[in-house]
Amino acid sequence: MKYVFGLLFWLATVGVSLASDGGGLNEVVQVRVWSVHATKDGAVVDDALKRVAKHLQRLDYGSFKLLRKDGAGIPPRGSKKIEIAGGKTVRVTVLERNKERARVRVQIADAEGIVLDTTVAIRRNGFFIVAGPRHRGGILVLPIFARY
Amino acid sequence: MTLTPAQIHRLQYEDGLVPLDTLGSIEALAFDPAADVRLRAELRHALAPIEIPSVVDAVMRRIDGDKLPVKESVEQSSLEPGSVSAAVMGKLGVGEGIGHQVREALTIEAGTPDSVWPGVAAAIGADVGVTVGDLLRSAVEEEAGFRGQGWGRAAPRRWWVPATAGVLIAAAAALLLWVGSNGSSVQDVAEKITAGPVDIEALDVGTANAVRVLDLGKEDPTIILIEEVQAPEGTAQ
Repeated sequence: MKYVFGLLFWLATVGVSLASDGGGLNEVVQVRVWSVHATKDGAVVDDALKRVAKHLQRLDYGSFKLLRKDGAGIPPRGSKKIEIAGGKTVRVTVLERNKERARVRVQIADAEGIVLDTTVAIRRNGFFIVAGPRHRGGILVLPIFARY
Repeated sequence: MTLTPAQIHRLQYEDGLVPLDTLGSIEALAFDPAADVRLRAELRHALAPIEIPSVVDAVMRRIDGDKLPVKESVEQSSLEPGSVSAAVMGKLGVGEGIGHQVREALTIEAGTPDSVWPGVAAAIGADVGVTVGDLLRSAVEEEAGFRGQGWGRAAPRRWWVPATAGVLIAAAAALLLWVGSNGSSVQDVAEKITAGPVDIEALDVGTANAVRVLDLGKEDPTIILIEEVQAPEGTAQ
């Protein structure tokens, strides 16, 4: 019997440990980039964008459609390039992070070169939006999340 | 035999059913009514029963009593109540009830039937030496998986099933926690978004672009709006 309880305790410990590794207590920052196509045709907002819809509607566009979601787990001082819609890439470098904010460098590039290079301090589990690159009669709107 | 009308009238007269004058004249009659009446009287007298003298009184006088004590005699000589059957049984040479003897007599008469179990056992493939009760008991025990427990044996491990279930549940929970923290789709659902402006430390755009930073409030995210030099399609509100 005691072996069973021991095994249960071990499994629970492992579960919590694994959960912690994937969650916000470890060093890795989960960076996510959504590719949203904004156009002036109509006034339809994709259901998948419900959580950020009110912020998107600050832009002078009527319809917003989620094209894809991309992301990567990046440790401090780590860097990863994420491919997004429209043949563009987003290189994210986590400079450092603390309990409240993560300092992240974001480089958006296309075939012609760097479109945007910025360094921001994002609130924990916060995001900011990069909008403007042209895409199929509209623009790309890129909500960039930093979760940890 | 058929009576003539004259004979019928004659009998009716003798019985007093008709008066004499209705018969006609005496001379016309073929009989003498007076003689018939006399003959009938004589016959009645001759056939009357002879009076039998009673002998009871004489007998009673001889036994010197007006009444015969029949009741007392019967009571004294009668058997005790309930002893009739005993007396009958005594006459038959049987002291007690004869129920068992009747059964024995019937059994002797009918004989003892042979047991059908050997035939049934052979038909169902059972051992003849095993009784039906043992056969049923063993079948029930086998079906129920019963195992006799005796003193000194190890206690049954009834905790094994719930413990196994607990292990599986814990493993599943750990797996779900791990998958939930790594799977993108689950994470998207579970992740919380903190809206608010970011602190921009550095900002640079390509040569073909211009940029505007929109800080719309403490509860709104910062929007970095890239405006291409060539006819931008969208502007912020």
